[in-house]
Amino acid sequence: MADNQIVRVLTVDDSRTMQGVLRKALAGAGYEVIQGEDGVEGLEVLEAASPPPHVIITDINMPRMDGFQFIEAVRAVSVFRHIPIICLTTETDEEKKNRARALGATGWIAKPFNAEKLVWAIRRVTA
Amino acid sequence: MGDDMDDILNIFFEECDELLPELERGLGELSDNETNPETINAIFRAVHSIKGGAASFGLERLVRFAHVYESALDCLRSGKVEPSADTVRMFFLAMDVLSDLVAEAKQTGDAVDDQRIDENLKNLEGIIQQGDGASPAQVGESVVPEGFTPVAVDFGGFGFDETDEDGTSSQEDDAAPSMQRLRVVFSPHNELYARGDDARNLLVGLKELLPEECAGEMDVTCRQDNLPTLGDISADDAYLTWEVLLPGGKGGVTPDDVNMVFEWVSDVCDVTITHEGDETVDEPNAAHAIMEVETQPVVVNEEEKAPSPLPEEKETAPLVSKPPRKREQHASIRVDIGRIGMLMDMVGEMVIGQASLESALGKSGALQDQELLKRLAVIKSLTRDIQGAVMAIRAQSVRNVFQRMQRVVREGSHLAGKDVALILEGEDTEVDRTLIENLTDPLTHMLRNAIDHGIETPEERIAAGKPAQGTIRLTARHRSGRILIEIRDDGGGINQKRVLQTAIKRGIVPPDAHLSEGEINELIFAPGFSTAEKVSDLSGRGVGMDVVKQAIHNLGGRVSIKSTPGKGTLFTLSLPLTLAVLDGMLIECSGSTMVVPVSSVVELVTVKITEDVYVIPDGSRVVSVRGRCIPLIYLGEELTLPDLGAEDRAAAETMGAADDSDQLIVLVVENEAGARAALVVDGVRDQTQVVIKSIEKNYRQIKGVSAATILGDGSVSLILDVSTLIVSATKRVDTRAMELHAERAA
Repeated sequence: MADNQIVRVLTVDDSRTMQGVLRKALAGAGYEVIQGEDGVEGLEVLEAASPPPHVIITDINMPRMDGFQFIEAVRAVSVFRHIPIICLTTETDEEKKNRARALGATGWIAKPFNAEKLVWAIRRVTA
Repeated sequence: MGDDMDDILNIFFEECDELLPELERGLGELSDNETNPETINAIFRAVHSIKGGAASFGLERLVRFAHVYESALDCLRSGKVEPSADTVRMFFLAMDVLSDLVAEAKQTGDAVDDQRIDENLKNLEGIIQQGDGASPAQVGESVVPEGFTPVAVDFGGFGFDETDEDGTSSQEDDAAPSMQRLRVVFSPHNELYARGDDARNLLVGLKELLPEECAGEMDVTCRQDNLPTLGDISADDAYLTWEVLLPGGKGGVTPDDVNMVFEWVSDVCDVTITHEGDETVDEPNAAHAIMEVETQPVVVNEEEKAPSPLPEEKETAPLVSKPPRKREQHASIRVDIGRIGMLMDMVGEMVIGQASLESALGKSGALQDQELLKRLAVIKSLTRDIQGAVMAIRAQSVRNVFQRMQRVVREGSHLAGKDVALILEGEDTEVDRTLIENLTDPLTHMLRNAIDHGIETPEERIAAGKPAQGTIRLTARHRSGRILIEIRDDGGGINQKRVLQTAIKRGIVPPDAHLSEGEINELIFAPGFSTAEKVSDLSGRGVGMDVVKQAIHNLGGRVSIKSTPGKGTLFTLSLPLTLAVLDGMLIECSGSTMVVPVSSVVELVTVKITEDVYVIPDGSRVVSVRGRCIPLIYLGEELTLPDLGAEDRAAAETMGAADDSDQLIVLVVENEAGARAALVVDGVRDQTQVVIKSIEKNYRQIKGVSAATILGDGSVSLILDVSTLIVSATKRVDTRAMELHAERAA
């Protein structure tokens, strides 16, 4: 990623608190943040976003469309196939991690997250 | 930043206020044996979200509890535990603790008792053990949230230093010679690209590991041994192997650092990390590229473009990003309730302002101008619309409060050993938010009361030929600008004989009192009254129905009772839709201007003292309006105002009746129960909207007066509490009639 380009991050989480915390953490680190409150809305925001986000951060446990379904849906669209997706969740189950990986998740961060770790993760996938 | 964080914290609490009722609703469905997976998921998610949010703010007590709660719910979600009645009850209890912990964090509630937390934790752990019984090792893991320490989000220090996540610094590796370099060789699989990752990401990740003084000291070699001929290249496949040399040793990069970069790709990328010189690596066909990561990261990008599976798409993103697109999809916004309150206040002032404009215009005689009147009417109607719109913003359905009652009934009937079903109707009825907030306690108490005193035991019910299960209907509906909430049980009805006996025993009424049925029913609202023969768990909480009545009264509402022996009891709460504005009729009485709510006015008539007013034997008066006798209230007298009217009447009587001195202007008013009374007033001035200003807040409660308002001319005026006036008038008349009846019988 060229240094002069603002990295745009899509966060998908049904908790407004988490969205607030993410927005603050990411905006504070100089990212541009767009948000969706569940998988369905995440997809809508993703499709409406121009330019598309450089990275997606998604919760797993969400109503309507959960993180797994969301990842699957994102990967099914060829234009979004290579947008890195980081799962941000309290789930620690290895099986679930593997499932997310198999569906195309790029990375995994545990909640409660550490802002530094989050920024590290974004940089890690948006080089 | 502090303010921002406070904002987010407020969002969190708001969210808790939404999640807790959801949790409750879900648990309610569970206990009704509706175990569909969506319900269980919703329950789980509610606790999960509270935990997640709380963790962001380091609300440790809340997080720890929520964590165990969540683990227990997870057992339910995964089907390891059945939602038995006991389990669900424990979840309910835990919900209370969770809710109290939220209140504690919000500082709106007291600190939650540790022992209570521990007891509930033990319950929850019991559930977890039950679910995980087979593998005790896991139990410990999930029960004790050792690995789960809430860490408040720290927004300071986004910079990167050499310290990695665990706080271990890169200097651990001091055994290695300081010049020895780390050799990292990695070959991404196709799957790495399918996950949106990229060899370039890994390279830059490695580059970022470099301490500042070593910036640029990274050698990157791309091995193309596996690269097929152009015709055989598949755009989706990975062919390249990368070899990276990093400064190792003291102050350099450690294998742990490198592992962190590869943490997410360990399964889709072959990685070897060695110290340079520990092994020799063949480099056939090595195209040596020194990567100037600092200044030309694009070089790598270009190089990789051909074999990388992400050529076209990745580059479609323009380099300059547009301003973020707003989320148009959202049809609602959240507004701080304080702002709406402000808006409401301003609308109130606008109403006053408009009234004062009208009154000023009226004085100047300008209101004769039809054109002006028309314009004024437009403004008036707009004001009214705005008011309605603002009120609609504040309106909320009573659904949440009503659904909370399901649980009250469930627990109540459990404790009382009765079988009671609660049927909700009209949950979508909307009321002002302030009212809703204050409805929970009175409703809870009234329902408990209905279970405890209204509904009979199953045996008694069967004996009386009723179904064993009692029914309580809780309904809400709008009626003439008010909301009516009814609590109707099909129990035994009020035992009037016992109520009266108790009231006499408690000294609430004298032993020789003759009370109408309605008055006996009203006795249960008397302070210090309780007919419960044993102090039960339910009602023995030191709160009587008098408190309920007071609470409803404080909301500008009234409670009425109808009871049929053997059939049941109906409590009706009548509440204003809003606490802010009402349509009022301005009346004159004893030199004061007062306001009567239009909603309670039936008609305005003039009657002749000599023809229509009857003095009944006890000395009180009734007036006949269209053949119906209604108690007559001399308003000035009732409110103990200096009775100018009486003087006039006296004067009229002594001076000989003038034409109109025989006439009384009478305002027929009605309360929700349909009882009527005739208010004698000196005159009617106008009909207007008035803004309600609490009189209790600024002065104290006055019987017969519900609030005050400011009129258009700036004067303060009292708003009459018609219902209280009617009740006291009818009570007087009825009682005396009964006494007479009794005397006659004697």
